[in-house]
Amino acid sequence: MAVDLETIARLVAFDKGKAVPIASDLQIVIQPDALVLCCIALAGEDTTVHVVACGSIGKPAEFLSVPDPRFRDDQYDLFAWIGQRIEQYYADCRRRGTHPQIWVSSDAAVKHLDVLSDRLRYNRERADVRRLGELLTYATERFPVGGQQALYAATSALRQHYATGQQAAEDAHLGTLLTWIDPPRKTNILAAVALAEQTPMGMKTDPEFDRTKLDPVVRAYNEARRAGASTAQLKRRAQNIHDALMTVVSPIYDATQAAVEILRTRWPRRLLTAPQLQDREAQEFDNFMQSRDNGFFLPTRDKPKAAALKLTEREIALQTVEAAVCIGDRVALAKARLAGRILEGTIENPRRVWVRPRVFESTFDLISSQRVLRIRPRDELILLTDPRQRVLVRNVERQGRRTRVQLEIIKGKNAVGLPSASSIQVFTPYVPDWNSLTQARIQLAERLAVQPWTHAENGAMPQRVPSQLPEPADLLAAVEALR
Amino acid sequence: MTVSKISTPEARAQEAIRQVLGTQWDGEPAVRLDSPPGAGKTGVVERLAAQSLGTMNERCMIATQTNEQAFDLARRIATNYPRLNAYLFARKDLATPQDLSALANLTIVRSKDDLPQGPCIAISNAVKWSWLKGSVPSFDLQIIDEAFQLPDYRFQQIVGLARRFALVGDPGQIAPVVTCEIERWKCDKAGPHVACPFALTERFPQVVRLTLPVSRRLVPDTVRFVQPAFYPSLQFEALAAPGSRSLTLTLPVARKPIDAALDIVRGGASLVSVELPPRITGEVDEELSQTIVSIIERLVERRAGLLIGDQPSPVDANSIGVVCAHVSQVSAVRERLPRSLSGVFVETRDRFQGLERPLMIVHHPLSGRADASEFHLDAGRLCVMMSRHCVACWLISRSGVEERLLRHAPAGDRVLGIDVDGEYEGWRAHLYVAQELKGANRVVTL
Amino acid sequence: MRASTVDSRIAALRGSLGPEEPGARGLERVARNPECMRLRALTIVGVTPATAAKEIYGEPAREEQSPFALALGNQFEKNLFDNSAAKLLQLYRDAGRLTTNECKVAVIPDLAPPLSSDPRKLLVSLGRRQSETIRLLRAKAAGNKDAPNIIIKPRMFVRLLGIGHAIEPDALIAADADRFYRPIEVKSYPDRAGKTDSADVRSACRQAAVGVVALREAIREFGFRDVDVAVPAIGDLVLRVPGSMSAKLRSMTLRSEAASLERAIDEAPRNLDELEAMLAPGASLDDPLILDQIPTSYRTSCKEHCALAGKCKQQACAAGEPAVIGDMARELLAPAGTVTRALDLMNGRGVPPRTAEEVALAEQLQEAFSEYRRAV
Repeated sequence: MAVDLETIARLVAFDKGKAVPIASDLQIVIQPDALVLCCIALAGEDTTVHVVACGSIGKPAEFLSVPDPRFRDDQYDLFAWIGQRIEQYYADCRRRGTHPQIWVSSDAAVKHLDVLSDRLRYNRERADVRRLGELLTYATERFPVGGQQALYAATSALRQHYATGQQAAEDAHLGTLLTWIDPPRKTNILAAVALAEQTPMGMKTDPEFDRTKLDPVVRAYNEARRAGASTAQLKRRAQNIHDALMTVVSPIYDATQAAVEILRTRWPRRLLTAPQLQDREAQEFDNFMQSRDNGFFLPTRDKPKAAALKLTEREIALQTVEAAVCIGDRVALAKARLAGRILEGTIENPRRVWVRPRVFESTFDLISSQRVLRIRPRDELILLTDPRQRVLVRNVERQGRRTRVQLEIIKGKNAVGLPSASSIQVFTPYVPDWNSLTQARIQLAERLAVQPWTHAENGAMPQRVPSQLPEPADLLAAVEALR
Repeated sequence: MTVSKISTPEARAQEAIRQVLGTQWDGEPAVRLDSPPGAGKTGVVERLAAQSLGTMNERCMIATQTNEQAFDLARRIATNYPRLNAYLFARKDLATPQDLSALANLTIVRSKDDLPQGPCIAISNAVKWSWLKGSVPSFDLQIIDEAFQLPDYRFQQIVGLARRFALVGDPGQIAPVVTCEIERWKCDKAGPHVACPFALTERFPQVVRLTLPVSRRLVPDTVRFVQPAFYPSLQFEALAAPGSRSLTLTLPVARKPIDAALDIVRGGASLVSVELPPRITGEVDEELSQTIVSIIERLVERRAGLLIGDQPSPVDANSIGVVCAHVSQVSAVRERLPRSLSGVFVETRDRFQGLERPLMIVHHPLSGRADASEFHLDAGRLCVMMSRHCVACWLISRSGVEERLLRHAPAGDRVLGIDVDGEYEGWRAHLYVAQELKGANRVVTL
Repeated sequence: MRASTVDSRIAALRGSLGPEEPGARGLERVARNPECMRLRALTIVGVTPATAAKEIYGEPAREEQSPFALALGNQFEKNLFDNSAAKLLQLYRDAGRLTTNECKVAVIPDLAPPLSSDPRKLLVSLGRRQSETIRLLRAKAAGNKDAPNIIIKPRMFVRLLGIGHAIEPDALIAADADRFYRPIEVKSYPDRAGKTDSADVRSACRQAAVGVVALREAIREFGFRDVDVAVPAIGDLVLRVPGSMSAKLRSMTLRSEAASLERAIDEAPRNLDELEAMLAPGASLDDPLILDQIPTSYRTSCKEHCALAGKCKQQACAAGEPAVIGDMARELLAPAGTVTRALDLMNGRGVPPRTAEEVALAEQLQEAFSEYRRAV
């Protein structure tokens, strides 16, 4: 692998002691009414929520905790509380024809929501808990799909815009990431980061905190409960637990809000394709909610047909988004140029060559000084500044440090015309085709309509049906005789 | 498959092909054919197609991975079976090679409506087939070429087009590329991301599995290294008798250090490791690129020749191929090749698939690296690099590869319930090659 | 190598610190980063990284496990092992691994006196656990039909530098027809199929591999030669179904994990020699300045398993190791050696490129840097 922009950016950030931008445009679309959701689980019990902070971006949080989430009824009540807020938010988005957007602190928090949704949507005891699971499933199912706008981890969102001077894996901690972006004055950055690292920013409490602060108050509560203490006493002990948990969840909520604020205020250049991404998300949301209205079931495991559909969708979504980003964002463009996936160079000898009556070939040469070029003859490229024009690579010849690429216009000869000599042009292998997903879905529905035995679940292999024709004595000779 | 009764490798190879052909007469609903490098896989695809149309009067469709492969297959079938009509199904604006238009029995069709309704051979790439709109009369046989590079979700999209399936490919080479997030399916051995032959066998263990047991391309000396390293569960042998392919050289007037690398091949070694002094170089290694070119130039200087069977031929640019891990390394070699040798095919391993040359020179993927990493340890890539030659192959690297491998700890990203540990297999394969070459005194130090 | 000599050598290197048992966790860690001499050194002299961080470097001790998680883990295990491992047996029956007749369970702790705080009594209890384990293993190795199908909490040994280190896998399993036992690792980590936390899977697999190595050692002592065949590198993981106390059984091949551990064990004598050669005579690792001298191989994955990660990171930053920016940077910037040098090459300052590699790297850095500046 050659030196890439990410490494450069990290070097510069390390040198400066401050995070540096790694994008030129805002890479995401922040919904003005987005919801910030911070849940903390009880250590070891991934399907619990001990305390939750919930609020719209820019607004203070509502907090709720349960003394001990291992008491099912209490826990369900907390889920119901969250569920009400999500339900209201989703209904509101639906009414306005837009889509919901949830912000959590980090990838660990996303995973937590994923665990919760996977489990809660099959809850048989309470419909309101099941409903929360279903609604969260929207966000968690969208998360792995490129270009999705439904669920954001503050860490990943920031990382799309900033490079720090630490390892990428360390950026998973929101506190250290924020410290790099806004380092405190007069403090060594590494010391500041080491300090920030000690505050948990995910969905778990710190084991030390558990041992010294949380465990004692939870025990006290449980003892009181077992001993049949009065409501007032239990309430007091529950309050102690709540106070302890607040010291953990409040900073996480604040940090997540701070991350959104940074992106909202310091990145004025919107992504060119923001409208398309939003439209797509709104469409997906509408489809999802319709399915829920119609009582469609959310399966645990994907049947082969569903798996094929989902994987295709993800691949297309990723391609579309990668291409989309390349068009607008200068850093993405630079990365692609460096990697040789995009062709940039000076035009030489644009010409029209007569082939036969009324048929001309429009051809030109492009001289690139890119060190690495992944272009081959018969590759097809599109003019970055005008996707109407498509060119075919006829020849690639390296001449010392430069490469001479011969290109022929195969589409948009007249609409765009030949580039002028000595101009600098950029060609890319793809442009985002926003229709490709819809088209693919339609096509897949058709192609997957009939599932032969090869992909039928618990299917049986069909019987052999020997050929009715007389079989030649020597099959190989018979085939050779066909030559 | 019984080896004992059938006497020669050639006879065994032919018997295996007969077995494959026979499955179609038996009406086997699906056949998986595992083929080691150079075993004549494409020839089997051709014969299956020819038999399907020519002898059984069926509709046969072939799905390839790339357009180039479709062109190549169409060319071969049309040329080898001039009495059979073949159809190349291509996108409306796809530029097709000139020579294909000249073949009388090959028709290039741009619309599904132009495909014949009756018996025929139709060739296209898998993605194009999956975009077929509406319906066509069912094909009797669907042959998938390079099947181990087709992920199951893509296979699923064309499966409805035919009644019987033949999945033909090389299990030791590069796995299908799926870039998006696949966590939710990772545990599933028949998941949509899994190469379709593996997925099919997982769902239906009773699917007929055959192998091509003989490599026509690799010599016994190469098979000795390649088979245990990359195909531990696929037994195969070389067609060529030991010593039946060799390199001839004139004696040099003045000896150069590089001659040691050439002489050891003349002495019968088909796989040689050439080591340069250890250095951490990063991707581009000028000295190494120069060494590659020096070997080529020296072969020409010493008027190297090939003796394949009884056929002598001179070594020229077309006899030699150079394969590298990175585009920048390809450029570095191309820049140094003199004009007279510009015919030498220099490319990355991805572009070398399906190709062969009598003599190959490999820029070792781990050469000059500070660290082994998953990408570079990929067994499939090294396998492709080491299995392109039919006479001899030089692996060029900075010394220290074995030490680096021994110091490396595969990260161990395991998936529950999945036995295959790709990173470990790659690491083990690399180490095996390094240690075996050393043990067999195949290392020339410059 | 005679154990007594080794004992005195490593005791000398330990200085004032007492020996610690690494346990399965400590042993599997050492195989994770074979290039890190510091981790290797500490493990072979018998000091855990956590102790090194606290006692040698004076870092505040940090709690490793939450009491809640611990309680859950204990309960999960208890659930499985109670009533002569009724639930565990059922799990194996449901998976078709054991028949209803194969229900012989031996609970090693029950076959020895209870653990005591009295050191002498403790030694007797542990010794008894060990001998009972050997007795049962021997029976199975001899093909005895009455050998248990499940052995809970066996006490086995892995030899490092000839010194036996006790490890107690959660359980061992063998059907009557199986040649020998296979280790079971019970973890309360949630099993989420493909979404299971990869660090959890990794640690469970690596610990199970320690069990494989211990079983191989045992069977070797019994005179077997084809050890890898009798004890293949396979282990069973018993993980938790999320949100419940139910268990899920997964069989995992452990070739990579077992091989890396066996290699680490093989290299230990050489490592000890190298360590002594590296240090001044009489030097011991309990001195932070001495420990600092021992080279590390700091990388992203250190944090996952080693308590010294923070300290090594500090030192790596101070030394300007490219690894502090990431594993890829570690590779890419290797020709420059340090981050500072890389920055010099990138900015065209300082000493001009001294080697061909630096020239090539400088070119790449400058090209990428100018692209970067142009873009932001």
